[in-house]
Amino acid sequence: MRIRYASIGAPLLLMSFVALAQPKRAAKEPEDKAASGKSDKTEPKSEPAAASSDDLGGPPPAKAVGAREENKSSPLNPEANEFPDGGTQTPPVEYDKLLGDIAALRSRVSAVTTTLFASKVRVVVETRGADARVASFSVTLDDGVVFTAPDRFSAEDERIVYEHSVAPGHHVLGVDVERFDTRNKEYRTWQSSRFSLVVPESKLVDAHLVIQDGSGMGKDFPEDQDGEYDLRVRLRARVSK
Amino acid sequence: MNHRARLGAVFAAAVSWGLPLLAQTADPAPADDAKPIALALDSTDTRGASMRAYQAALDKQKLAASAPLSLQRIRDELASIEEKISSGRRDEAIGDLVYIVESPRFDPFKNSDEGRAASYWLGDALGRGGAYQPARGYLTQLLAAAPNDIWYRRAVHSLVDFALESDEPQLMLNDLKVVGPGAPDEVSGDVAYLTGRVAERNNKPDEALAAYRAVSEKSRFWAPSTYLSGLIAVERRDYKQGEALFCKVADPKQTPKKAPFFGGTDFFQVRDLARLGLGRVAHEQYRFDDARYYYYLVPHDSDSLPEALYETATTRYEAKDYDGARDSIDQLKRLKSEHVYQDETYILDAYIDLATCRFPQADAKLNAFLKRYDPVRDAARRLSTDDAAIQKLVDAVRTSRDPASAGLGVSEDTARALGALLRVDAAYGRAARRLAELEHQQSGLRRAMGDLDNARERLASPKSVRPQSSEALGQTALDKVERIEGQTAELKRLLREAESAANGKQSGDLSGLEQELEALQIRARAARAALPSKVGTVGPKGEDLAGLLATDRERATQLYDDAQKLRVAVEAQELALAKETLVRLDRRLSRLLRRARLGRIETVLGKKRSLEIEVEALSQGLLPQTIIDSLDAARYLGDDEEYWPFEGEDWSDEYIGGENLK
Repeated sequence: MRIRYASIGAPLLLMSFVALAQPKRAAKEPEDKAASGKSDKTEPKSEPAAASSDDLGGPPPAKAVGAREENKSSPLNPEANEFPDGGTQTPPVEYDKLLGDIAALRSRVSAVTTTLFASKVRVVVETRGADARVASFSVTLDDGVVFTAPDRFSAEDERIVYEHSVAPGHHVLGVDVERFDTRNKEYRTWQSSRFSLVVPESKLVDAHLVIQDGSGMGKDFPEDQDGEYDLRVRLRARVSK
Repeated sequence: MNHRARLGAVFAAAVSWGLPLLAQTADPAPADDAKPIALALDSTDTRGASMRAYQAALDKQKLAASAPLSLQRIRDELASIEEKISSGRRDEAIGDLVYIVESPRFDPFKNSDEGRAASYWLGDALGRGGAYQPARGYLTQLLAAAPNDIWYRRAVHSLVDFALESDEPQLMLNDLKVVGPGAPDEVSGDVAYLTGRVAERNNKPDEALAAYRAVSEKSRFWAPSTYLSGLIAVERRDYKQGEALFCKVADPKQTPKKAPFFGGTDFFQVRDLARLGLGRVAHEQYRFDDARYYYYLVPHDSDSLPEALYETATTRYEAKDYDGARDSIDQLKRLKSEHVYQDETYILDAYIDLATCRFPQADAKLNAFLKRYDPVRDAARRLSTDDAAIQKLVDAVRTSRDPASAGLGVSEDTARALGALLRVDAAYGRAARRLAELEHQQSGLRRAMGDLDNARERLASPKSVRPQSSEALGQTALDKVERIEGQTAELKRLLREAESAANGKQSGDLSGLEQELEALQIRARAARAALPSKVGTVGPKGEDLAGLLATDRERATQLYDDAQKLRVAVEAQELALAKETLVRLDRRLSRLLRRARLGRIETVLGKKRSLEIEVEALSQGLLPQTIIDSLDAARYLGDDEEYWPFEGEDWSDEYIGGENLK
């Protein structure tokens, strides 16, 4: 009877070890380095998993001639097509020239308007709110952005973000601001405001923007399921001289 | 994939993630057919002649500044300009500088220290804004001075920075050919490093190595040069040489004393990469203990720590030191930070359990992996067909924002997992930067067009004031198109949510809505393409101020139209790179999911085998380990629990609990 058990157990034992040994066989042994070079050449290309609709992947690769079980690479190793191929798409050839032309034109228009217009606008920004941080902030004047905040922008003290000559008359000052709560970054707000200004002839208009955030969403809502956003953008325009 | 392929690929990835300055290492040379056109369009023209024409026209109309320029005045102006640049008001600073530098009054001061400073700041500010051609024009003028001149050195420094950021570094390298052998070490080091990078880009590793060798310890690029030399050696399978070079950066005793001072904060980033490199070289050579030591050297405050811990675990696993592998995985888990190896860590963790015959634990981990990452992979697959969602996701990852708040139409957990796993490569960063630069310049151009119109009106009737716009606030064509795009993106997100709720069931309503949305998107794209470019009235052109303004107004319209066309091409490039990132993630997750399913089969076989051994042992009269001492309380304690058995020290008058009952 014992012999019978053993005859059934032996193949089972063998099969089980074959299955269990897979991850262990992954480790290559130093003495097989020379052989591994050969097996590299016969390694098939990985299948494009993204194209298939399931996880089955392609058929198993054909066993390479001379390949040994010990030479197999780790099954946990990534495949070549999972890494960036290092290739890049070069920009259109006229990109640099166009950017240079636009920047030069803008700079001379800016220089000429300084001479032609005696009226000026100065935009001063002040941010308030201990638990609010600015994620992005830009100031527009009429049709274009005149200031874009750098990373980690903060203006707890007053900060001049724009000062330039403009034509006297009506202008539209715009503020786009995105903020988040430092206590919980999931709670974000985005606000866009537009203000109409009249700049008198030969005068400087000081536009003082106060961006205030007294929101309690980040703290209150996760705790009590009840919170409030309190956002304000105030503008005080004053003719300075 | 073998180790070597992994090594190379991981090095390339490490270079592109870890070091923005080194980001172009793996880039191939641009297409050959593009080169002649690029060279034909190359110019270092500052476009200053146009500004000088304005100055002359203003002078004729007695509108030019009449106060004489002086060194003190330039100095005062420069102080306020530097302040503007440091506070992010670069466009204003450029306008101020052009007004000074392109004035005939400036010519006598051009070669003074202040004059050279003004030229430098103008060139530098233009270059930082992406306008490389005029920037090179101003900066190369400074290279005519002696190499020890501060503005000469700063000009070289800026030109090298622009070259490393740009897609045409060869052009800046040509500008720097005037830098001779007498230049200070820091200057010649900058040029040698750029030479090496350009040689690598052109697949000339020997030339690159020679150039890197010329970088002295007094250069800010000593560490990157040595590290990249090590990479070249490793790619050639000269591991000994590669290791020696990495050691120079990684080992403080071998690092030249001055190198960290000149290298700044980047130096320590490169040092961490060098330590990782040493670990990988040792791993590649099956020196598992050495590899562990090198990975251990990566400090705890380093961004590379998750990588080091994960690779330590892999090394120990391959060395069959499963306890060591488990320690590293536990350390990695204790970091409690999001890292790009999260998914692979799951699988490795389960495979360590498999290797140590802890089948139920391995099965639970693999099951958890499948539950967590199956939806993530499906979401990646779904998102890869939605352009707006891809851009939102990749932008959120690139700018370190929370992907859950990007409005992707997938659950928060899935969005965060996608964000954590996405490995954004340097090429995408460059494409996004190009688009941002173009958008910024276009926006500035719109403002310049308005200014030109105002200036022309002012010249025609000096007492006129700018009238109130007939358009309501926020109702320009551009505002409307942006709102339409926002709405269609939101609709797309809602549809995605509805699809997820339908659990793959086909619905006629949903497919009808999808078709409607596609039609809307086509119309939105057409609306953006047809945006009016704010055409101004055409006036007579000429050499006078009004004529120059009319010429520039027409030129502005033309440039805006060109920029619109270029924007379409640049956006397409950015999108293609973002899609590729998602496709790569899909491939990786698909491989890991397959591996997890195979692992589960192995856990079943393992459990079966352990039962067989128990049965076999019982048949031979041996009790299996699971039965021995099964009534001993200590066996059921967790790792963090302790059992104190009763030792008979209670006093006789004390209440005695149940533990002393017999």
